[in-house]
Amino acid sequence: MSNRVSETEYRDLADFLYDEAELLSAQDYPEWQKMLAEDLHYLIPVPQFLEQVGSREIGIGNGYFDEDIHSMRIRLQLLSSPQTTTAEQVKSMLNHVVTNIRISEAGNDEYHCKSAITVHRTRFNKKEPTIISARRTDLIRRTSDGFRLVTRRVDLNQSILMSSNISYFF
Amino acid sequence: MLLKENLGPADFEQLVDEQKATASRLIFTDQNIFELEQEKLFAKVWLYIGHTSEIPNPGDYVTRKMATDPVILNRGEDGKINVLLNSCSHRGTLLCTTDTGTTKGFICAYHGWAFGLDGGLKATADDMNLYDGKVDFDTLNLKSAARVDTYAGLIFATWNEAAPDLADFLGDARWYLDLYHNRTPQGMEVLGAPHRWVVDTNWKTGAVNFGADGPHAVKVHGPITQATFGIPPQAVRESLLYSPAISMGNGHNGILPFIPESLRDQVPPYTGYPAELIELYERCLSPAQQEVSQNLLGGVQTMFPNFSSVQAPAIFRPGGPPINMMAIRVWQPISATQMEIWNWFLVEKEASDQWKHEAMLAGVRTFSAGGTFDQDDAEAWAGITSGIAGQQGRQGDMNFQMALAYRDQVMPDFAGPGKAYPSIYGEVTEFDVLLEWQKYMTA
Repeated sequence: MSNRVSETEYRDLADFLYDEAELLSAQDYPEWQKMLAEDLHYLIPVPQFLEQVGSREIGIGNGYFDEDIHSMRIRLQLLSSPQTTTAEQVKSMLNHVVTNIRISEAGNDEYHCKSAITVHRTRFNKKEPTIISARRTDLIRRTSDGFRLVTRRVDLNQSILMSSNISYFF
Repeated sequence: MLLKENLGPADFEQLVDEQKATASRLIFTDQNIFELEQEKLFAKVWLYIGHTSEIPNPGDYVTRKMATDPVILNRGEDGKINVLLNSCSHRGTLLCTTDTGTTKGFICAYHGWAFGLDGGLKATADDMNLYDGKVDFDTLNLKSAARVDTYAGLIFATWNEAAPDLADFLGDARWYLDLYHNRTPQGMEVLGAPHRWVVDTNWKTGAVNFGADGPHAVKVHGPITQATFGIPPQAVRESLLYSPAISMGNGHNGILPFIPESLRDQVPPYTGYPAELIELYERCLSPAQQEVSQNLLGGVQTMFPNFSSVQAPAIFRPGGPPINMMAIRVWQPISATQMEIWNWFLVEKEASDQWKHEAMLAGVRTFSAGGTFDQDDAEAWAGITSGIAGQQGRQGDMNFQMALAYRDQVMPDFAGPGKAYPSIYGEVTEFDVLLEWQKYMTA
């Protein structure tokens, strides 16, 4: 990657990603929400096995998640109370493992951050963990009030999700 | 009823009790029954496999499943739709290993046998003359579905040469399919690749739920409906309690939740569809269909055995208008206690780019693996499998006994064909999916 960042910047941004992972595993969505930019775009495309030559797109595309800050807030609000979620009542046991962090400057106090994430999830009625791994491509902005996640693209490594639902975030 | 290997028609007579309106839990958990379903149901019936908009041009293909069999759905050079078993006629190797693409044919990874889009054998491992004329190559074409047909852009196929015509199989359900698939001159198109995810429950759980289950919509989906549409749970209840559930015949069932009286002044006719589309609906739908359609808050139905659809409004932008999403899905049988959901979002071809985009967003945020509706359903459905896993649990019944209160209340003057019942709380149409299942299993 070009425009590599200083050690301090790398450390600060890595800490941002680790802090985020901790909040996501704890499902502390009021706190995680504070790390999101107002112009958020959170996208999880549909992974497909395609020909290297001669592949084609069908339709305009429909990701598993395609969220702006408004829809994200609704999702987080629903998942934050046992009265408004069935999927996370009882809460899953989650562990977000983040690694392979690579960072470059994007200009305007923004940074391109790539990372690999593996989420281990266990449900009351599914004792063996469901494990989904993904590559993340983020744009993170430095503000006077700390870093904010602006865009995140999550490329999952499962074309058929081996999970009853995705009621958590990557 | 005890688990045993050689289940016969007499057993299946008992497994669904029409009189009592109950079904044995075994049919949701027993692997022997699952194997018999493959033979007696999925090998016999029309199955949904794709949409014409997914393969618009010659050579376009997508890989699909017909129950447990992998198939290739493609459009031939002649424009004809082909459905081929995705397995080499030589030694059975999976032929096509991509989700979608465009090609002139299929070449096996093992010995290089080659097949045309119509499944015709084009080449073997080497010079075909090496067989010295002792092999009839016509017997080595790929296995094709016995019959392939479409209705309103929906492609169905069956392995059963003797199946009734698709039009007859769908029968009166066509009137209700038209409400969603045949309401504009050009019809619907898919918005993208299917969402696919595994749920640890029997495929019939989904088929029955979309047949459709009213009360769960208040319990499970009340909060999301309130958060995204501003409709209080009491209004959802009002709509479901007093709107019709339809038994369309041949096991096809659905519900038509109407805009409740208490929301009449807040929700416009056609619940937020744009004026330019409503104009097309009024051109394409019959007056009776329009009467139903303009009152719909949403709509859910199951075409027997495992093809369902849902239409629902949502608002994810504060102060924004309601946006209607429309999804179709197949409940793919994987094992007695596991299914894959294959889910596509549809939109009118004539819709504006902006509406298509917004309809897509409304879809992925509601009815998908990560959708606010489906994520909650899946948890409840997987819980069934856990709850009835043991010796005691599996001996019980699945209870549909609200049907006892409603099944004799057929509405005499309902606008559409089939039997309409006056409440989506009735469990009559959900149970009808299982009564049809029983017909196949006892045949």
